[in-house]
Amino acid sequence: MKKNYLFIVALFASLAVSAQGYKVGDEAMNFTLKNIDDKMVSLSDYAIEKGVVVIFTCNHCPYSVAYEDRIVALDKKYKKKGFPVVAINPNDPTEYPEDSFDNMKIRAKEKGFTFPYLFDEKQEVYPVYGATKTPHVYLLKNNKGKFVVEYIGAIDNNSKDADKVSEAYLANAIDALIAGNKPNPELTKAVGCSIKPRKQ
Amino acid sequence: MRCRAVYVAVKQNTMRYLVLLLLFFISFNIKSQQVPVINYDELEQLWSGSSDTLYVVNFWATWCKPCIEELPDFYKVNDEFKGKAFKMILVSLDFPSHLESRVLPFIEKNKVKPKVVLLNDDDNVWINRVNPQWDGSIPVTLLIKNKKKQFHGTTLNYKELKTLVESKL
Repeated sequence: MKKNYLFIVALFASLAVSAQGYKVGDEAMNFTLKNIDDKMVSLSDYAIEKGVVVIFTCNHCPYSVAYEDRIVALDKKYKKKGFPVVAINPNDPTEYPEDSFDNMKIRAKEKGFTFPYLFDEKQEVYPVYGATKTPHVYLLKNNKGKFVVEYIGAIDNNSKDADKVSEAYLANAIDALIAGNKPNPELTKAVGCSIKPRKQ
Repeated sequence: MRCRAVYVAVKQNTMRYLVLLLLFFISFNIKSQQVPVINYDELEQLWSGSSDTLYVVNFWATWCKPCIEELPDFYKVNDEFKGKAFKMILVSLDFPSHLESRVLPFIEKNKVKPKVVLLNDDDNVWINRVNPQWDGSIPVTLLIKNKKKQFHGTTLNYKELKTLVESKL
């Protein structure tokens, strides 16, 4: 009997591990984080939009840097269609000084970010989403005031060279939502820079 | 006369090529190891050679801090198991355009002895071929023997890696 009990505990523990982070179809929680203009931004501020493109990204990661111009272009194109970008830096600046709040401000200005660039200073948001690396995209659809995860993964299939992209995963996913369809694929993979939790 | 002029031109060109070739080889010898840029099929070939060899395959990149931190322990294990049925492959996920500017200087500076290759393939395809459960964050280490892969999605220190290698050899 005790063995059974232990087995059940172990089973639940393993379920808890595998259930970390959002899956497609989950409702995304609200968050409130500080933007580079020192104002607070919440997901709920976007209640009038059709959806939100949440992108975990940062300054130090070459993969993130390679995507900066593409993220700006996506925001410009899809903001008008009701899907603005919200970027979140999940990194601990003691691990990566380049990812400090001051450096976020500098980088956003240099690159002319057209979207909020929020700082997950307490590292409370990215684990809830289940983001593991930068860049890591969560495309949310506004379903009567609830934000539902519709697509998770990469921006496109060539991080190294924007000119050689043959599958624009994220743009296709947003287009699908606008057309009233489900994104296909709804999950893609890419290499990125691991997000490191703060050392205790 | 015209013939002679052509001959001289050809000869000069040949000399130029020879000098260039010589410089090329000298630069090869000065540099530490060369790093081939390969796709996933080619990478698989590297660990499919011998069925009784244990391959330790580590995915890393110069920009990946936890990767860089664990690599010295990998060099140490590599030195220790030299001569055994053991081979270490360090798979860099740096951009191919950073090979000259970041990867080769890193190898030179740290005197990296295990074989280094740079993987350039479609992430959304090859990551699943390594392990469908893996989302692409690194470091990742595989222990491969007889084409059977054991996946480690966390950093490994000297003791952990050594214990793993010993259990598989």
